[in-house]
Amino acid sequence: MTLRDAVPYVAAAYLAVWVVILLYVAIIGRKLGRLERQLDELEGRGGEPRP
Amino acid sequence: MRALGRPSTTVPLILSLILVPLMVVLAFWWTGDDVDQGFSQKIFYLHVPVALTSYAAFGYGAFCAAMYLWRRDPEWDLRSYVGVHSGTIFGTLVLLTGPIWAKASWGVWWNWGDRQINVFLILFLYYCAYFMLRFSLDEGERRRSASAVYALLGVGLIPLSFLAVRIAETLIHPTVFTSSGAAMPNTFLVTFLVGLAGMLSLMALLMAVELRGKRTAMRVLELQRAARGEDA
Repeated sequence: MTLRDAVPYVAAAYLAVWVVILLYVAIIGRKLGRLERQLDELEGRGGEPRP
Repeated sequence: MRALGRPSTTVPLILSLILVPLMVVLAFWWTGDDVDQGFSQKIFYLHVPVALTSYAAFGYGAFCAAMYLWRRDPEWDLRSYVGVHSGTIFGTLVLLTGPIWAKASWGVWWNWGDRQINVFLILFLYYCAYFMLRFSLDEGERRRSASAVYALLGVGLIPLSFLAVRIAETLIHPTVFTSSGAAMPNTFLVTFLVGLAGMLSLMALLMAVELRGKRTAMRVLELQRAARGEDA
């Protein structure tokens, strides 16, 4: 296989790894953001008298 | 679980930021092209470390599962879950990069005659089913025990997958690491080892971040229950 033929495969393999890892980081980031909002809500509720 | 301590994210983050880009630099600017495979062999520095990292993550998940069954501490269950989850993510990377390399080297996306890749696929699917089992059960001791037993049983597939290429009669999936050493030039070996250390650091980082997230989620759940006046 020539260099010209191999480049798309090598680029695709390296790109696939970074895309999956970035997706994973984005998902974890969203989950952590949601948890922070829930914690903020709980902190806000902490000051109010319980029904 | 708190007794087990909080895994550090700083050290694996620094190591990942150094080692992974270093592996890319070494792979493309230091090592030469392979005599047989040419430029497509560059995928080796990514694919093999990712595969070994997925074995390490599954192994860690199984070890933590065994620790849970022994100690009955929910923290070990959480760590086992995070290990299996990381193994699945790195396994996905193996199944993405493998066929690309196969197409470049062998001319086919998948070779059903190759035992190693088939055993790896079985291992991957086995641990994918772990999540179906885990989330089909209500949270509690039963779910933790069933998940631990399942994660532990799958560990037998790891050495089988690792050794399959050695017991296989086919030579299509080459064995570069043998009992007499690595059958590759030193520049290739150094780049591979840097890549492996980088991927293991990345795995440690992802696992530490996910573990923190899971612990925070559990804490939020406890606080929500307490706020509703339920028993935590």
